[in-house]
Amino acid sequence: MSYPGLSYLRQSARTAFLGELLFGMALTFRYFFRTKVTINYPFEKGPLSPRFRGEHALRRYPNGEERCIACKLCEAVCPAQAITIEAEPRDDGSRRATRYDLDMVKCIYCGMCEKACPVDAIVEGPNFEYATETREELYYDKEKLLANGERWETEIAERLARDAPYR
Amino acid sequence: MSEPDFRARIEERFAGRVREAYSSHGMLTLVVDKEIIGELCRFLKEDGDNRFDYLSDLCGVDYHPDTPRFEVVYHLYSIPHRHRLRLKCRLGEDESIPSVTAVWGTAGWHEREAYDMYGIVFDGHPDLRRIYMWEGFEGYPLRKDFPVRGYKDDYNPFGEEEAERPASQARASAAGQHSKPPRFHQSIATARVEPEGGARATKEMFLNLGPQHPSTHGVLQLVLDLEGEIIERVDPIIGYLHRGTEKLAEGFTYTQVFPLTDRLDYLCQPSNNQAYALAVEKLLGIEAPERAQYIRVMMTELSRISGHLLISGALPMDLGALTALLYTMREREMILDLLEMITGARMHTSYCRVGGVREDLPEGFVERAEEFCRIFPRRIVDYERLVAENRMFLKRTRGIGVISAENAIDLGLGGPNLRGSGVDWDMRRDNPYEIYDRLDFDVIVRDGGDCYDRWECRMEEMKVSVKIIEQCLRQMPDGPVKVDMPEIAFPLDKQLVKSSMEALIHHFKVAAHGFKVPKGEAYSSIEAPKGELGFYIISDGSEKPFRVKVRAPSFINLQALHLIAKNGYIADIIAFLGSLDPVMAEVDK
Amino acid sequence: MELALAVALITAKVVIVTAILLILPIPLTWLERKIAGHIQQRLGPMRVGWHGVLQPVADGLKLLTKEDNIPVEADRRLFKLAPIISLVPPFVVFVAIPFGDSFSLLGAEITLYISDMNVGLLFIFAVAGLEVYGVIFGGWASNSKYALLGSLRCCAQLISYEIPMGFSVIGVVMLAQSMSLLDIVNAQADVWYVVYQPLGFFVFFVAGLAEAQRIPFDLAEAEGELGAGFHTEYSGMRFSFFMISEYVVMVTISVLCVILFFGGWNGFLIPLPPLIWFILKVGFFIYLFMWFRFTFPRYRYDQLMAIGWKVLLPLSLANILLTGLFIV
Repeated sequence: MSYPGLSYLRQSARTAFLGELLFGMALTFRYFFRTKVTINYPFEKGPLSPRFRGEHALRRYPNGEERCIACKLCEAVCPAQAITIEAEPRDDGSRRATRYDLDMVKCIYCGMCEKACPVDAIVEGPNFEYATETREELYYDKEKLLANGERWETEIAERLARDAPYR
Repeated sequence: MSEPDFRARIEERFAGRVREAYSSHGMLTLVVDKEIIGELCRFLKEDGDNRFDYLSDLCGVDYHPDTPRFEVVYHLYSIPHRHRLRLKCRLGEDESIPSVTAVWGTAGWHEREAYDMYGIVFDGHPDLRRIYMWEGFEGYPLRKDFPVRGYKDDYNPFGEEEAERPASQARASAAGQHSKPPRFHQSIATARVEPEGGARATKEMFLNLGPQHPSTHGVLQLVLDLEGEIIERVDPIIGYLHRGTEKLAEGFTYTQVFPLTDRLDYLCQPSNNQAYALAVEKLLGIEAPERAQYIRVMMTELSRISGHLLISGALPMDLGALTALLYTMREREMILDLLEMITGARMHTSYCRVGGVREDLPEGFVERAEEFCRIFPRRIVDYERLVAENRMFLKRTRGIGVISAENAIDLGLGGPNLRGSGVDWDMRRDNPYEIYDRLDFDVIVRDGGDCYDRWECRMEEMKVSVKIIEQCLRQMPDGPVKVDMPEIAFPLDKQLVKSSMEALIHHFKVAAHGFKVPKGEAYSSIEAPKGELGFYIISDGSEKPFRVKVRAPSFINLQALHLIAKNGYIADIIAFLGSLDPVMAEVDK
Repeated sequence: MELALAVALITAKVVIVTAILLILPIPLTWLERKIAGHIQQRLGPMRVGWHGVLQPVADGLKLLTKEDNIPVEADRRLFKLAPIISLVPPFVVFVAIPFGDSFSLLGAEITLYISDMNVGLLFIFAVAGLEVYGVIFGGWASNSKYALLGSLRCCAQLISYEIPMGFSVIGVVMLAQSMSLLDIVNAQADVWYVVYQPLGFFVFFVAGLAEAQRIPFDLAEAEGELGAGFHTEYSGMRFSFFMISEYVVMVTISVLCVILFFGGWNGFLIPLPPLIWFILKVGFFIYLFMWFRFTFPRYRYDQLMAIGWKVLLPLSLANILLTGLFIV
C-alpha cells in the first residue's frame, strides 16, 4: 500500500470526519460495559501477598511463652529508630523485655526488624486497617504488640509457613 | 579513545597543574588546582578526543576538620566516546572556585546545591542562591559540623541549642554576602512598581503556581512572570520536600540506607535500590549472584513501566483527559501487585541488599509476570487509541516545549527527555551493568524534542521493557540470590542462624553494626526511568558512608523548565511538567 | 376568573420547572460520577444509598454546612452577587422552552410550555448571554489571580462562541420561517432538521460545548492549570450555585439541540408519548456531554479562540449560504 495520494486522502477524510475522536469515543464506550477493576473496598478485599509488611506483632511460642528475648537487634537495625527496648532477667532467670515500645508513627515498614530477629518474635503481619484517631494510640507497647500476635497468629503462622522456603 | 590516551593529552596540556591522577574503581580521577578548572573543563568538553560534553554530577564534600576543608567533585561523561572522568578540587573555607556554568548549563543547579549545602561559592555563577533551603536559613546543612537535627528555632523545637553553633555555620559567614534576595520577592516588587509612561502602560503579572497545585506533581512552586497568558520567565522554587537524604545517609549503616533510596523516586523504587546497591558493591569489589542480577534488572524494568505508566497517563490527565490516567493506573495496579508479591510492599520495596536481593522470587511469580507481559502490550494499544492520535492531544503537545539535542546534553537531561530530543544514549546499552549486555532490546529515540516525542518515547520504552522482562524470565538461572558472605549479608537460610553459632554471631554483627566498607570512593549509575541515576559514595572505612551523593535525574530534568517555558502559555507549563516527568521526592532528595 | 386561572397555571408551571431544574443537578451529578466511573472501569460512588444514588444529597448537605468563606480582600458585594447572576439566566431561559405541545386535563387545555414567544430563540440567546456577567463578577471580585485568569478566559470564550452559535441556528430559522420554538418543532414533524442542517448542528453542538464550558472547552475552570478557574475562591453554597448553573446550562444546550435539530418531541418509528421521546433525546445529549468529558483532553486558550473564529464562524456562515441556496 504505497499510494501517497491515497493515504493523504484517507488522512484528510479522517481529520474532516473526526475519525480519531470517534475511535476514542468507541473505546471509552466499550469500557463503559466492561467488568470493573476496582473493588467495593470495605466489603470486598483484594488478595495480600504472604510477604506483605503490615502492622507489627510480637509472637509467642505454641506453649504460650513469649519469643522475644530482648536481644535488641531490631532496635539496632531499625533505620527509623522506632523501637525502644528495655530488658531485665525475669524471676525464672530468663532474659525478657520489660519494655518493647514501637512508635508506629515513626515506623517506615521496611521489614528490617523482622529480618533481624533471630527468634521470629517481631513480625509484620497482614493487618493494614489500624488507623486511629489520635497519635497516642499508635505508640504501641509490648502488651499491644503481644495482643496483636495473639489476634493474628493463625494468619502470621500460615504466611511464615508459605514463605519459609525463601527466608 | 582509551583512558591512558586522554589522560596523556590532559597532562600534556596542563602540565604541572594536575596534582594527582589515579584510577579509582574503574574511573580516572584527576586532582587539579581550582584556578584551572574553568579552562580545563572547556578543554575537556571541546577537545575532539575527549568530548566530555555531559556533566553527570557536581557535588561538594566536607572533610572537616581536615584542611583545606572542602572538595568539589565533577563527574564528566562523554556521550560520543562513552567514557567517564572525575575531577576534584580542594578548597579552603573562605575560598571560592570558578563556576563551570558557562561550559555546561546543567552546572547551574548543581552549583547552587553545593552552595546551599556547603557554602561553597562559585565565582561567575549567574544566579547563586539557595536551592533547597529557604532564603534566610542559617548554616550549611551538609557540613560535617552541622547537626542532623539542626538548630533550635520556632519551627524546630528538637534542634540543638543555638549557643553550640560553630562560627562557620553562622549566617554572617564569608559566603553569606553572595546570597541574593529570592527572585519571587523581586518579582512582587517589580509588579508593584508604578509603570512608566502613564497609567496605561502594562506591567507583568506574576503568578505562584504551586506548591499546592493539581498539576505540579508534588510540592513544586513555580513563580511565573506573565504577560497575559504568556509566560515571560519561570522560576522553580524547590525544596518543599527536602528531607536531607544525603545527610541522613551519613548516619546510617550501608544497609539502612536502602529505605532512604526508596523514597527518592517513589514511583520506581527498585531502580533506586539497584543503583545504590551497585555503588556499594563497587566499593566492596563484589558482585551479586547471577540470579539476583536478573531479578534486579527485571524489577527495575517493572518499575520503569510503572513510572512511565503513571506519567504517560498523567500528561493527558493534566491536559484534561482524565480517563487516560485511570487506564494506566489499572495496569500499574498489576505491577504493584507483582511488587507486593515479591517484596511485601507496594511502594517502598527496599528489596535490594548489598550483594543481592532480600529474598528469592515467591512461588507462582513467574506465571503472574508472564501473564502481565501477555496482557500489557494489548493495553498500550488502548492508550494510543485514546490519546496518541487525538487531535486535541496532538495540538497540546506537538511542537510544544521543544528541546534541541545540544540543549538537552548541555542541560544534562536523561532518559526519555534526552532520547526524545534525538540523543541516542542509553546506559543499559552503552555502559551495560549487571546483565543488560545479555539482553536484546532497542533504544527508543525520537527527533522532535517536543512534549509529544518525550511522551511517545515513554510509551515505546514500556514495550521494550516488557520484552526485557520476558527475556529475564526466560534466561533467569537458578541459584542463590545473595552473596555467600556472612559478614555482609544475612545467610540465605534463616534456619542456619538457629542452628549454627557462627552464623548467629555473624547475624548479630551484621544486624547490629552493619559491615565495614574499604576506604575509597565510587560512582555508579544506572539508566533509571527518569535518566541517569547515580550514587557517588565516599567511604572512610567505617560501617557508615562518609558521603553519599545522589545524582537525581528529576532534579536535573526540572532545570530544563526555564528553557522551554519561555514564551509558552500557562496551559503549556502543565504539558512541560508532564513531559519532563519530575518526581518531587527525587528533585528535593 | 379566566385571568386568575391563567396566572395560577403559569405560576404553577414556573414553580414546577424551577423545582425540576433545581433538583436536576442531583441526579445529574450522580450520573456524571457513575458514567465517569464506568468509563474508567471503576465502580463510582457506592456508599451512600443503593449504588451511591444519595451521594449528591450527601454532597449537597456537606456544601450547605460548609463555612461560607469570603476572601479578605474580595469585593464582598460583587462576590455575593456573582453566583446569583450566574444562576438566574439559565433558569430564565426555560420560560421560552417548550417541552411538548399540550394536553387536556379536566377539560382544560394545558400547554407544556410557559410562554410561546414569537422571538423565543432570540430571547434565549439574549438571556443566556447574561450569564457571562456572573462569571466575570465572580472572577473579578475574588481578587485572586487564578479566578481572574479563569473569568477572562471564560468571558472571551462565551462571547466568541455565541457568534457562531447564533449564526448556526439561522439555518433552522430560515427553514422553519419562525423564531418560535413551538413552530420550529412542529415544522420538523416529518424530517428532523439535522438531516438538512448537519453542518449547522455540528457548529451549534461544538459551540454549545463551549457555552456549557465542558471538555474539550472547559478552559475557564481548567483544573489542571487554574485550580478551579473563576470559582477558585468560592466554597459552600456559593460554589454550588455555580455548579447548578453549569448543569442547567448543559441541560439547556441539550434541550436546544433536541428542539432545533432533532425534532423536539416528535417520535421516530417507535410510538412513545411525546414527553418521553423528548426526555430520551435530551438524556442522550447529556450522556454525550459526559462521554466527551471522559474521553477528550482540552484545548489551549489560543487554540480555542482559533477554532471559534477560524473554523466555526466560517462554517456557520457557509451553512447560512448553503441553506439560502437550498431554499431558493
